[in-house]
Amino acid sequence: MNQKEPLLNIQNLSVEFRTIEGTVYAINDLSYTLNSGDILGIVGESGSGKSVSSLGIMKLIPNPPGKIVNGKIIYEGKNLVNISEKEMEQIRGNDISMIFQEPMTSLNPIIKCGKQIAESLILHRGLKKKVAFEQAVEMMHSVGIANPEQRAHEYPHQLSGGMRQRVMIAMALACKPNILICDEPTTALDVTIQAQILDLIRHLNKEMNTAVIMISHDLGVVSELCERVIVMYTGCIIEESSSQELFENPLHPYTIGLIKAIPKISKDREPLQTIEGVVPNAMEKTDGCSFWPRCKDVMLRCKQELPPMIQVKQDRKVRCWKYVVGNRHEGI
Amino acid sequence: MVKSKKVDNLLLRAENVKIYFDQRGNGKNVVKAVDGISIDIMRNEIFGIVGESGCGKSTFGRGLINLLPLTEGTVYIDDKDTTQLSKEEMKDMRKRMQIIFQDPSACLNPRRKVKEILMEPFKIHGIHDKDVINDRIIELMELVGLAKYHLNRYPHELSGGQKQRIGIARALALEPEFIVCDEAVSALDVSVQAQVLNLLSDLKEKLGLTYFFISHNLNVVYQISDRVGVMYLGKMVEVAPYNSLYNKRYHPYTEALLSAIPQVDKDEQKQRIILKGEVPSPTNPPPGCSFHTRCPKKFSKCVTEIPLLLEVEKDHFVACHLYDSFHEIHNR
Ligand SMILES: Nc1ncnc2c1ncn2[C@@H]1O[C@H](COP(=O)(O)OP(=O)(O)O)[C@@H](O)[C@H]1O
Ligand SMILES: Nc1ncnc2c1ncn2[C@@H]1O[C@H](COP(=O)(O)OP(=O)(O)O)[C@@H](O)[C@H]1O
Ligand SMILES: [Mg+2]
Ligand SMILES: [Mg+2]
Repeated sequence: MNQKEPLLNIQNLSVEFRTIEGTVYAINDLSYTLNSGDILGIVGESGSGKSVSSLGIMKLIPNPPGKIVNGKIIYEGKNLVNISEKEMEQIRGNDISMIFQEPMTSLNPIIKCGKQIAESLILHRGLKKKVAFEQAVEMMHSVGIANPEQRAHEYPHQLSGGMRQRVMIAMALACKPNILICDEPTTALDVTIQAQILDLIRHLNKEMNTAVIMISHDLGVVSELCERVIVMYTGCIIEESSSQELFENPLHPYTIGLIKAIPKISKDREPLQTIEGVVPNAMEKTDGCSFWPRCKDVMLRCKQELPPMIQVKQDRKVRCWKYVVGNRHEGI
Repeated sequence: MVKSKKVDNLLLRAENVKIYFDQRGNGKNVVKAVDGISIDIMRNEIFGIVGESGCGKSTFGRGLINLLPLTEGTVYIDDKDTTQLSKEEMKDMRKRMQIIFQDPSACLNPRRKVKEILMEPFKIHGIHDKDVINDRIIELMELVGLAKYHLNRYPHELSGGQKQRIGIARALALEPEFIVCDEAVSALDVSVQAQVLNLLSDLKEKLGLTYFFISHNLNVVYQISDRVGVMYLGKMVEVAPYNSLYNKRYHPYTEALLSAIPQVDKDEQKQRIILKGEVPSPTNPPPGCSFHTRCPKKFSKCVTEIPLLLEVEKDHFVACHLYDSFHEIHNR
């Protein structure tokens, strides 16, 4: 096929943490692509590997104990796994930026907000101090900070949680990156402030054509914001789909269970369904599908062999033996 | 107001409860965390509370069970004024009223085994008969769905969901009637959250419990509650049966809050009302209706007159000047 190269192409990525207690298999054979202007959602419960997979893209996995043991991360023809830290510094914050749940982890408490944003412009764009500061103020304005001239002279702790998150977004977007990775950016915020921030991300994606990877444990956030969604379980992608189809017609038994377990606000209240059991320990590797001990539809094969990602139709993949011809139980 | 009439089956009545924090002890910068709330809670009911962080949910919950002194007002339990109890009566009351917190680890002593943790409440209340305690502990483990071998584990050896089950077991130890659940499932993953929510519902039925169920997550509150109260800046702005609240959403704040929650179900993703600005400081709440600074529907009266929580239709109470005439009609 002669398709346009994706902006980001992750192939067979595996990450391990070698700890005293044993090896944590954090990411197992992860592959996906991101096109420019996309909003891709990554959902999964805690420990499923959402953060580690994106730290991998930024080359920020603590090493030791963490190590990329396999795979490629191709960005603009370069394999980020192999490039030097010096080359990565050029990409980080400039081409690819990341924002976190807790803004204080990436904001420096003793530097005024405006100056922090300006520093990245000085570093990557070679701007003069004064110009960089002016652009920083402009950026603060465009992420919806009222009185940006005044706020630019304040320290992060003087701002509310929502405002700090905006400063971090302004900092991440200052150099107009091609990719913005958001790791649970609204999890610590109230819903009315979350609504403001999600609206802002959506707006910036349209305006600046920045591709967004939105990581969240909140299926609602992903459903509302993203066009395409990846579902993770124990470091594996188990389903990939358009957001519309995923939430209307989930295929993987885990995704089905997860959606039924969310309390929803709708006219008719239904009892919550649960997924029995717990997520397995990430130090144990099974031969089969890691979900089988909790799966209602488990078959013998599921315990023996890890199912491959099965393309069930265009833009729709699922890692489950049920959907392999010959094993198929239900129509799609 | 919500109270006034004589009600059968009434367990708890809060009358004009105010809880202020005078941090400097000089009457300046007083935080009006709870500012004049009156509610009735029926026996075997789940009364849910929602509102943004800092609106006073936890403070009110603690005030209800005498863990915080009231600045003004009264809480009656079974018609008994709990602000006027003797030491002996207070001790008895403590047994009947329990609280479950968000972070179970914070209240489980990490150096004690589960078994010892569950023995604490008995010791505190002077119950020393080993056989009685042992039988009761085994019963508690069954109630919260944990296998007996967990009794010899330390908290760090348990998952988040299991720890929360221990927290629940401990709260149930002395057979309470009323439990304040303060963000009890907020730290849990979706699939575990569903298990714990179902457990709490089952226990309520089985043991005839009454909950004051606090959460910032409206989906969760909607799922479990019989009636829901919406708080804003220390005040109750709407109280209604869960379905009536959802269908009517009279108060503009309730409406905005409901619309701001990201929903998985695409049919529920309606036009979002994005509130401007942030919650004002509770030390200096705006005059009139404290929501008027963010309200899309405010008019002149809202700036000057504090709206009372009035019954606008059967069992549905709203504090908003938009409905002043509804109340008159309802009471005709
Ligand atoms: N520094 C680390 N050392 C050891 N294990 C780690 C470290 N960071 C992450 N992990 C493990 O990697 C797995 C994936 O974690 P993470 O990506 O943070 O999950 P998520 O973001 O989906 O909650 C988990 O099992 C976690 O315990
Ligand atoms: N012990 C305290 N001293 C001073 N202020 C407090 C104290 N506890 C709570 N507050 C303040 O009271 C208000 C309500 O807090 P809280 O009841 O914890 O809200 P919520 O549970 O709704 O998030 C907040 O402004 C909070 O900062
Ligand atoms: Mg994470
Ligand atoms: Mg609280």
